[in-house]
Amino acid sequence: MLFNNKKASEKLLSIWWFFVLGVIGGGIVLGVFIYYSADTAVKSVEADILINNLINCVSHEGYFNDNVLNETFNFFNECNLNKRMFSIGSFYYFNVSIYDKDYLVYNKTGGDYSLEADCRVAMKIKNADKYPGCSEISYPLSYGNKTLRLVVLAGSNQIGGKVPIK
Amino acid sequence: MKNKGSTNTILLETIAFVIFNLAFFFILLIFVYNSGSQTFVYEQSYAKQIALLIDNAKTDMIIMVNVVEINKIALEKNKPLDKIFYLDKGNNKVSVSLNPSGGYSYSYFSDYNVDLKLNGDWLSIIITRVN
Repeated sequence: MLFNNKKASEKLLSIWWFFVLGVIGGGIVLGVFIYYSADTAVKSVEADILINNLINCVSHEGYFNDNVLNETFNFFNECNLNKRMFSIGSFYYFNVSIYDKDYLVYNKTGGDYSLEADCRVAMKIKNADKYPGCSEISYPLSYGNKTLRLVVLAGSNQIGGKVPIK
Repeated sequence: MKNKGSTNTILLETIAFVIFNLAFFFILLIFVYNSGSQTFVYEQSYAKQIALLIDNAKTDMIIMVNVVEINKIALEKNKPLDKIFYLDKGNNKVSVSLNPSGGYSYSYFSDYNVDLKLNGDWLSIIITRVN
């Protein structure tokens, strides 16, 4: 009865008005879902923290620690890193290299090796959201009367996720 | 000149139109308001924040995190406050849960002995060396 009066229904409760409401409502709902499904990306921050930890344990006040170049130097114990978290297939990767001019005198890696290639790509392109978050730092440090160059690359590909809580 | 029946129909339709619109925008407002307290966002941000704080910490350190916001939501959701933060030491994971079904977890890579203690609106992250 309400919709039978064509003149009135054309003015107010027309199908187009419901279409407009649908578009407005749908737009707001879609916007809210997109906003709240956005991920808080902290992979690069994790990579920076890992680099800081590694640098702090291999150097002190501009000097290499005496035992760094020793083969028995254990990065996991010295840098308080959990070895289980750096196994193959893990989320993390690091590569510590020490150069004497252009000659590589020391190299130690840990974590998932496949992340290194992804890191090289991720550091070259912008908005590489699906790639690991990576950082690389290079600077000179004194070792005895020599100056060596420390290069540290670290990456994290951790996404996190929902878990059931007991 | 319009007859009485036609005028009544137009008036009725105008009222229905206003009621429909008010109901529609009221429902939208409720939806947006409820979305504002999405627990997933809080779970995710707190889990990541705590994991990063642990990774960035040094031994024998206590870090205090203000958790007043998440406590407020937990109280609204009837979630016991002592069940919000959970540490899986075996897997190096921090979990934050505001729902009875589950929560969000994030790993940390440091090999510290970590304990979480909730004191009111402050969460203490206690970092000690592994024996």
